[in-house]
This record gives sequence, C-alpha cells and structure tokens, in this order.
Amino acid sequence: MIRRLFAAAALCLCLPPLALAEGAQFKGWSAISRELSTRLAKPGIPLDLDQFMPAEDVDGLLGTWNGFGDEHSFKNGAPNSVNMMIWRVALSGFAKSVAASCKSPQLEFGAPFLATLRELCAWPAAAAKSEDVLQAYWFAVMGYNAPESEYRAWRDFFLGASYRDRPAAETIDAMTFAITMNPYFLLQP
Amino acid sequence: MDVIARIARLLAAARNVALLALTLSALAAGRLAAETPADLPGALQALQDRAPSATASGDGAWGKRWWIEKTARLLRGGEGLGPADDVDALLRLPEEEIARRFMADRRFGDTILDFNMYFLGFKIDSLKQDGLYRRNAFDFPNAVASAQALLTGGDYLKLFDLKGPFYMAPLPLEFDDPLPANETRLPAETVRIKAIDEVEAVYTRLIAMGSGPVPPAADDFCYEIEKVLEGSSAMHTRLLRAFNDPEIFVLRRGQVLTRPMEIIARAYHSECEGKAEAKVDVKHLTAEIRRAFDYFYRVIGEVLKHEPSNYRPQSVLDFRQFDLGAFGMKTWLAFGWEQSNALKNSSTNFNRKRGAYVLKRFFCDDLTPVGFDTPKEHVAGAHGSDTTCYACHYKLDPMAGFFRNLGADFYNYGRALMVVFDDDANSDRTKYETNWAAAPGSPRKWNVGYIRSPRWEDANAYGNGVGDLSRIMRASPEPKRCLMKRLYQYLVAEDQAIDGAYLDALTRKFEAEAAVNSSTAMKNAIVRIVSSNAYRKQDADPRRCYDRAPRAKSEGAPPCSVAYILEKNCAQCHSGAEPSGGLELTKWTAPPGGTMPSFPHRGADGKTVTPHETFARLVERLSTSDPARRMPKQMAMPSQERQALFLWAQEEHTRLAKGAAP
Repeated sequence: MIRRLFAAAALCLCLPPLALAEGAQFKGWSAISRELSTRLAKPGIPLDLDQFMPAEDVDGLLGTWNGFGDEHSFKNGAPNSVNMMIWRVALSGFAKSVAASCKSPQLEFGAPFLATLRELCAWPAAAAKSEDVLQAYWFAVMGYNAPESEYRAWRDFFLGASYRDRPAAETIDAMTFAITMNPYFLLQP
Repeated sequence: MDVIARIARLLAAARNVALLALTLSALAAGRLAAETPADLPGALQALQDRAPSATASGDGAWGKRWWIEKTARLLRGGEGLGPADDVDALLRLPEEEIARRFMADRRFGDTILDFNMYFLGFKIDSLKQDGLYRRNAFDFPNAVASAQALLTGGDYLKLFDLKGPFYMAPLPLEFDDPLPANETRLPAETVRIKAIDEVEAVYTRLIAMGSGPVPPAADDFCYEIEKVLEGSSAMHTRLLRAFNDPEIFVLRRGQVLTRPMEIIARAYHSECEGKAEAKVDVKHLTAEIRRAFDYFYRVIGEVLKHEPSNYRPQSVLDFRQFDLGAFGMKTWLAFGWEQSNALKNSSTNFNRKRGAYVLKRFFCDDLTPVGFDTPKEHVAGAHGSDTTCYACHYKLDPMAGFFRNLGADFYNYGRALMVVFDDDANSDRTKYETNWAAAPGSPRKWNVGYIRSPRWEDANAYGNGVGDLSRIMRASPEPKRCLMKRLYQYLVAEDQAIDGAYLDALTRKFEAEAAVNSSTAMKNAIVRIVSSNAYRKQDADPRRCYDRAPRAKSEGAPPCSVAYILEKNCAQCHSGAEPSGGLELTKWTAPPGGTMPSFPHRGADGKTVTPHETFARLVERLSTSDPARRMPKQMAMPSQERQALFLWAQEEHTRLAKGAAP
C-alpha cells in the first residue's frame, strides 16, 4: 500500500513542474466516475464505482456542483488532506479491482478494455512491456488528459527496477493507482 | 504494544497521504509564467472568420488528442472519448469540424441544458442518474426551452424569457414522506391512482346525487356539499401523499386543488346561503360541481402523462411541454421549485434577493458597492439617504420591483388585496406597492427597471412586470455580453482572466449573428471559444489573457483584465502627450528608479507621482459620489466595468502598500 502511494507521489515529484491553473480544483467524483465509465465500461452500463467510496455521501467532499436552497457554485474542489484521503481510498479500491480482473472481471468492463487489460496481465513477461501495450493501457484509463511527458514518466517508472519483475496483480494495481492519482486525471483542465 | 504499533502505522499512512496532498496542491498552485507578447499570437483568428488551424497547441498528436478529449467531454454532455470513437479519424479533421460534429451529437443537448443551468446559477454534477434525467433538469423551463430551440435551429434567447412553457419532471418513484402502513408496499404509480380515485369518488358522489332520476332535497344536497367543502383540506392532504414537494409546488401554482373547491364554494354560497330551499337550483349546483370536477380531471390527466412508466425522456428534445391550458394558463413563470427555495422574499427584503439574482446572473453585475452617480433629484428612504447603501440600492430596488407582485413561492398576487411573503408575513398590496411608485410628475408610474445610472435616466430601461424584464434583457447588450462571459468561463475556466476587448468582440459577433438566428450564433460562439488560445492552452495561468481582440495592443499596455475598460472609459482624457492630471492610463511601465510597473503619472509640479499615490487617487475617484470628482466625468460608465476596475485598483493599491511585486 505504502509502496504504491510512494510510487504515485514519486511520479508526481519527478515530473517537470506544471503550470496548472492557479488553485486548480478537482473534477469531482461524478465527473471522474463518468470518465472511467465512458472509457472502461460496457456501453450504457456505468461502472459501479460508488462501492469504492469509504462511506456514504462523502462524494460531495471531492468537489461538487450540487446544492439546494441557494445558488450553486463548485464546492470542496480544492485539494486538501481530507479529500485526498477519500480519493486515495476510493481509487486504491478501484485499482485493486482492476488488477484482480486479470483472473476474472470484478466490474462490468467493456470488451475493448478487457482486451487491453488481458495483454498487460502477462506482466512481467516481455510482451506486456511493449510500447503498444503500455500506451494502450495508459490511454484506456487516463484518456487523453495528460501530455506525453506524463506517460513517459509513468512508463519508465514501471519498466524500472521497482516493478519490472513484480507480479502482474501488484504492478497493475500500482499502475492504475498512479494514473488515477495523477493531477492531469483528477484536476479540472 | 500491538496498539502502539497500529497507531504508528496509521500515523505513517496519514503522513504519506498528507505528503501526496501537499504534492498535488503544489502542482495545482503551479508556476505563474510572465506574460510575453510572443505568447499572444495576434488577432483572434475566429473573430476574423479564418478557419481554425488543423492542430491544437501542445505536443503534436498528443496535444490535439487532448483538445479532442476535452472538447468531446464539454460538447457531449460530459462524455469524453470512449472505445466507440475513432480517434485517428478525428485527428485528421480540422478542429472546427470536430467541434461541429460533437454539436451534432444528441448529447450536445445535455451540454446546452447544463450550460443554461450554469448561466442561471443552478448547475448540477450530472443531469442524468442511471440513464434517466434528474428532476433538477426539468426545473428551469427557460433553460429547457432554450436548449430545445438550439437543437432545432430556433430561438436560443428563450433563455432570457422569464415566462414561457412548462416541463414537468417524471413523477416520483419514491416518496419523501412515509406512506400509510397499508400502502408501503405498493408501487408509487398505484398509490397515486389510489389517492386520485379517492378524490374523484367525492366529486362523482356529489354529481350522482345531484343528477339522479330523483333530485335530492335541496337542504340535503347543500349539507353534503358543505361537508365536502369543510373536509377539503384533509382530502387534499390525503391526495398529496402521492407526490413529493416539487410536484406539490406545481399542483399549488396550477391551483389544481383549490380552484375546483373555489368553483363549488361559489356555487354553494350563491345557492345554499340565504335562499329559501324551494329556490335552490340543484341543477346549477350539480353543473358547477361537474365543472370543478372537469377541471380537476383534466389537470390530473395531464399530470399523469408524466408517470415514469410512460415518460422517460432520453434527450432534451424528448422533454414534453405540459399543456398549460389544463391550468387555464398561457405561460408558466420560469422560476420553479428550486429557485423558489433559493430566492425567497420576505417582508423586510421584499424582492431584493430576486433582484440581486437577476443582476448577477443575467447582467453579470455582482453589486460591488463603488459609489454612484448623484441623482438629479433627491432620493428618499433609508437607502437613499445613506450613500453607502445607495451604491447598490439605486439599481437593486428598481430591479426587485419587477417581482413585486410575486410573493411566496413566486405565486402571483397581482389580483389579490394582500401579498404573502415567504416568511409567512403579509402586507396590504396597494400600500406595499408604493415602495416602487415613481415621483409625481415622472413620465412613468413605477420606479421599476434596469438602472444603469441614477443620474442619467435616459440610459435606463424601465418596465413593470417580469414580462417587461424579459423584453429588456433581450434588447439590452449586457445580458448577451454576460452570456458570452459565462460561456467562456464554462468552456475555458471560471477563474481565467478575459480581456474585455476580446469579450466585446465575441459579443458583437454573437449579437450580429443572433439578429439572424440565435442558435447559429450560439454554436458559432462555442466554436470560437473552443478555438481560442486560452482553451487550447494546457496548464493555463488564470491571470493571463491568452486571447486579444483584433488590433489590440499588448506591449506596454495595462494588465489585460482592465486595459479595455481604461481604453473605453478613460483614454479619451488620460492619454497622449499631455494627459489630464498628468496621468496616462493607457501605458504601463516601471517609473524611473522603480521596479514595479504602474501608470505614468506626473503631478502639477512635474514630479513623478508614486504608484501608491496614483492608485489611492484612482480608487477614490472611481468610488466617490461627488460629481465634481467622480471619474469618468459627466458620463455613465457601465457599472460592471466600474466594479471590475475598482476592485482591480483596490487590489493593486493593497499590493503596493505591502511592497509586493505585481
């Protein structure tokens, strides 16, 4: 767990400094859930990602437009230690679920994503480390939210000493977690 | 020992999460790059009617894919690229064509409805849940009508119409309040039918009694009617168990329950009270009960068309217009359930909250108090004699006047003797309305309108009711500029700086095109913004203006957020070789011996005035109400621009006082 967390943090720290919008805010749980469903799920069947939330009704703490009784503004979108903890819990649960899907799908994934995942499930075999496989997995989860430099840093980290010989489940778990904790994934563009 | 070890592990985990949070926060805060003319690639291409370039900024194909993903998400109701999208094919297309393809997708209707709700200040995270539209999506009829119009090439500016069609949401599948024990297992639709049948049984029993082969004794019939009238409140409460608050709001505004009872009560009073039994017209009583029942039956029939079993709209175009004829209405007030809760009036604020809402949302006027032009006539009342208050109230109160007949829940009390407020207080309507009565001799009856200047009345737009407000919004330039500003914020970022000249250029183009077709104008405005430099800039600096109007000067000009305001309102006197007061407001340079840039400013003695002093004077001259000192002299400056300039000058003044860098 801590190893994966450091992997994500190290990736963030070793990347070139970003000039993301000052005070950029999270997209919010609703938007992230929709993005993941659009990319990974069967058409028209959203992934049940709420199961990974640590408690009910905390999704509003990750950034939300919803409200009642007053005009709506985007609330709770600024990163802080509380919402980071919630993101970490939710997305690590998701990452584990993806990794466990090498044996049997844990979520209603669509066929294109399962095909991409299956190739990566051969890790640490050489075939799973090809540029095509890694890039396909990156795009499948990240979409096109991040610049190429982010992908290269992610790829190089996992091809490096930390993970190149680790089992597939552990590596895919960490890979997915690193992508979904990336600021380009979580923050508004 | 084990407990201590667990706590230590917990602390270590928390520390790591905090480390990650700090990392992300630092990344989010980012670096703020200095603005250089080289980063501002000349005139805005889309405003010059040039086709947008084929590639997005950023690193080649990756950059363009980023642009496509972002644009897909924005223009397809939140749905980005998925496995079904042929990204390689999209990569080969010019950006404008990609944007127009996304706008031809049926999900674009969700984008427009979402944007309209954002414009109105009531955006939600997602219009749909589990594939079905949430109730909120139906709650802003002007937003829906406008979105439907955009999809069909109609009048997008229906967004400014505060009266129009009504779209009822599908009826609820669950109830907020508990049901009686014998109904808890019944489907919602069954409960509704049961509740409605109970009410219908009351009507049909009376009708059967009055129209039977043997007419009832008049006294008996009147007695039965009296019992129904006395029990009507309880009967309605029982009926309402089958609905939730948003539907009850609709039933109340449509007088679905009260109007039939009023019809029966009137007939009862005319036939059963003070009349000899022999003269009671049972047929008339029966006919009136039947009329009341017909009204109830027709409305309920219309309401039941929204049962989820047969009404499940899949796109914005599927939203059906409610037959307002059933309510005996032609138009429905655009302020629905949620706005009635958010914009409550009271016996003390009258309708000022509603007025402030309209100024903020439709005119982009945040009511920053920055003084005012002294009125030519003395202003009475507490807010007139206190200049600090009057800085907002001169425009807030006349705007609130448009809503003066709309009491609690926006219910129209225009024909009633009393007006009831949301705080349950009430007031004699005639006396209450004098708050907006124009002074004797005034060319108008009411001081109700959109007030640009309390001194220059010719600049203002006056009216009476909400219909007039819609007319004023359609005719005024401010709401269209506000629309373009919000569209930019929606598509680019809420906090992204925007050059006023660029915004004006966008607005002018939109206005010209909207005069022909407002839907086309809106789509073109979207294309312009998604082709803009700011939109295409990854990791944009929110304090920079990435887009400038054609022929805009950037080198040596004041900061982009105010340059245009200064050019438009101040440059006439404060520019050139001998600017008024020695203050040049179109240039921005570091003073001799100084490092922080400011306006060139020389005093009467020829010596350089310090930037700190320059800004102190600027703030004072912008906010004073003294016509001899207030700037710009003898001319009305749009209050939105005065507010923006004042806030900026105040910020600069504070910054200089702290000795901070720009």
